[in-house]
Amino acid sequence: MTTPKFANLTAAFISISISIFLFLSSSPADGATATSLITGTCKQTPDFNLCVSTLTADPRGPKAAGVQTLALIIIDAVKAKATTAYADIKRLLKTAPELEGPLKSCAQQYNVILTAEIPEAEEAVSGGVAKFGEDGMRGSASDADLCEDGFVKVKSPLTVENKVVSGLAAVGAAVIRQLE
Amino acid sequence: MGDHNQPFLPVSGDPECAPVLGDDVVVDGALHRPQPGSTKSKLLLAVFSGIFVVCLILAGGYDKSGVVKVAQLGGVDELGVGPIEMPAGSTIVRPAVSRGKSAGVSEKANFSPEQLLGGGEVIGDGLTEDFPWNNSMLSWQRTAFHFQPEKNWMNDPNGPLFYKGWYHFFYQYNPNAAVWGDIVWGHAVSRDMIHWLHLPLAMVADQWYDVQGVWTGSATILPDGKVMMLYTGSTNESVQVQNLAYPANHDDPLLLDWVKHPGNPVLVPPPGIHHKDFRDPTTAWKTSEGKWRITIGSKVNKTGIALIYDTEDFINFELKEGFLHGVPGTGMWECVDFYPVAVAGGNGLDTSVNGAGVRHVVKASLDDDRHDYYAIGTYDEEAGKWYPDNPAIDVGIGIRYDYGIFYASKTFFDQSKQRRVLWGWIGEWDSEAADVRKGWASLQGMPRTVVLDTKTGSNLLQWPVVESESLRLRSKEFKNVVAKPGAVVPIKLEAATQLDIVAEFELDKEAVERAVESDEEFKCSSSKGAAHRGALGPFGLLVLSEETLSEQTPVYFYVVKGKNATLRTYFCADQSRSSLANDVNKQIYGSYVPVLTGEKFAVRMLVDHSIIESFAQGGRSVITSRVYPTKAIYGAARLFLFNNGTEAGVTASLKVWQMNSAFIRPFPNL
Repeated sequence: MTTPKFANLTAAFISISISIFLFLSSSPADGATATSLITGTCKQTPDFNLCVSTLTADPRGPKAAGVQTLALIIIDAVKAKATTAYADIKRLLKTAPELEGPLKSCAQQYNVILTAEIPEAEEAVSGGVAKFGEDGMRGSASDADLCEDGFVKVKSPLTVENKVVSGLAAVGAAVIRQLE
Repeated sequence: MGDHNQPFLPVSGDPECAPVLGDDVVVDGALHRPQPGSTKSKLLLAVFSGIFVVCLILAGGYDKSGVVKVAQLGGVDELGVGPIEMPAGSTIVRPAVSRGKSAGVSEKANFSPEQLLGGGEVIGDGLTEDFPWNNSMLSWQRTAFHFQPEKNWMNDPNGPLFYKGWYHFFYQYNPNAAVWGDIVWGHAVSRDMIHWLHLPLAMVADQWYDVQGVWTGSATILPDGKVMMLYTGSTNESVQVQNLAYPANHDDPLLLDWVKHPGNPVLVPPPGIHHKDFRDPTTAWKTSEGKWRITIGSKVNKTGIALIYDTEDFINFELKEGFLHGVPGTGMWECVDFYPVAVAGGNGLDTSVNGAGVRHVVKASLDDDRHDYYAIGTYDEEAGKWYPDNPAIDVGIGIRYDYGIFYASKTFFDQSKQRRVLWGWIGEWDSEAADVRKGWASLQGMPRTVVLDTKTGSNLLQWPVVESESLRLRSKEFKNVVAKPGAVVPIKLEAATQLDIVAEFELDKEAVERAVESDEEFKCSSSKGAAHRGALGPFGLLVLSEETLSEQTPVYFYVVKGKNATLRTYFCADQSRSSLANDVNKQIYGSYVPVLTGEKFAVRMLVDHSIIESFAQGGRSVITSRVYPTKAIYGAARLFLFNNGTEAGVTASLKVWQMNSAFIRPFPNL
């Protein structure tokens, strides 16, 4: 049984929630629109919002004619994030020598991502043998996870970056899957 | 060694021991592991979820199924109706699983789901950590007698043939990395398909029509002995085209140098076929008009198809109307293969053979699930069509060559020994990072002869080429070894990493008769593996196992007594405890296998470091496994006989050979 006061509170809460939701869902970066290709593709990935925001942030996204272009955009985004992460790892190796162990391991993982897995994904998606692209993206996600998992007794200074790379790569694998 | 009769596997009724399949999955080389999460963040998540749920309801619904679809492959896993076992190349998003401390537990205790996920034992102080692979573990993984290049990545077998006294093998190769890419044709020769000698690359990506990749192709030997090689090129614009190449010097038995036809490409994607769905031309066979015919896999929407082309010169082709065959829902057909088999069994047949007493096999590698499927049927030469004997087990929805890891396979007719030989690409089931670290990835399966199973008439038999026996060194025989229910029996060997095992098993007859009829619907992949106890199984061998069974790879039979006392047998491999490492495949897989009246349960296994190839019932069902133990390596590897059934004893007889290295190396003095 609700009292009038309670009903007002509920209404207020609901309106605020609606507003927040509408605000959040209607503000992609740069005001670019998520095309139906983008939303349709992103629905089949583990992180719809990350997928949509990444694709709409890239000028190629809203103009993309097919899923292949979207896949290449995600791969590029993974590359960009991994490159920054790698640079941070190198910097931290100098500034945080107490974390040398896990950081060296992370350097290895990101080296594999940048020199092996991303090139594999790019070549495979361009060439039309998508499954190797999936492998490259899945491998990248695993390697970012491995980097993060290496910090067992200490707090990881790379958590945000690792999660972004891992999440984006998982999205990438799911997008590429739709090419098969 | 410990007690012989102490059950080492948890009882299946214990809920704690139910493996959480799918949570920790390695699919074709990439790892998916549960996300770590702390309790605090989970609470916050719960609170915000509550608010968000309200928003969602108001927003009129939102596709929350962000989980990538797991391709549902239904059907019973039998050679009869859709024997598809493993989830198709799918990614399962990991739920947030908190990874706290787990105490090291011996194999004899019950297992929590986490321990089953992680392989049972924990290293160090118990906090989850990346597995510390070291060079000793990694270098052990290289095989002794399976084909692999000295380093880097390999995939599909290409253009195998026998020419002027040498077996030739070509393969997709990346000269620059241990992952796929920059693909060119590697080349090796052998007198016996075992002792391979590496040759220089046969073809590189040096033309506009193959600059993005010199991809898969097949050889045709003309009646005058000349070789025609058709292969797929990925052009400078990433269009898939077919090209012709031939030996620069037909007198060179090593076929070192190859010439690409100046008029390449000889085939471009036809109208209606996407330029990225057109690859892997087959060996050609003669038509009754005296022309050559090839088939190339493709797809139209979700229907996998095999296109047909006729040619007289391998340069000008005529696309035949319709397709050789197509199966809806199977997706892109890669590496299509088409060949005749004799109804009477026996020898293999040249690809051009047709007529009475012959069936034709159509095979496709399904891009969607990365498995090789075949079907047996009738070839209507005039119409250019093929029809399956049993549409319920048509190409792509029926029988697989192999229920483990085996893809892009290709046969050739070995005219010197009148046999049809099957090559298959065996990928890695570890992480790409480990591949990069160890500097290589992939093997080829031991070449297998392929014949029709004359006893069933509805499947093929595969068996390692007889030359594999030339690797056998010293043998030990173990006759009538009894394994009571719950027993683990050590098989004492001088070493256990390079073996050829031939084993036969019999269930205690009385126990079989006494056993109650069960309506269990068994599938290897949804079972608890070797821990899944039934009345009449599982029983088999523990391969690449460690003394205390901290690591073990069971390969086994599981028998179900069904209605009217009919026995159904399943043949499975269980990798859930194959390694203490957490970044390798831990799945359980296999299939139904027909065991005919009077037959014992029989298996032959080739164990060669990180590969195990298991052939049940003379090759009626085959499972290839890639295994990466961390302890059960070198001198610490062991072999055991086991019987984890609850009612029937098992009597086993085995002969085990130590296997020599094949000394695969570069061709000397070239």
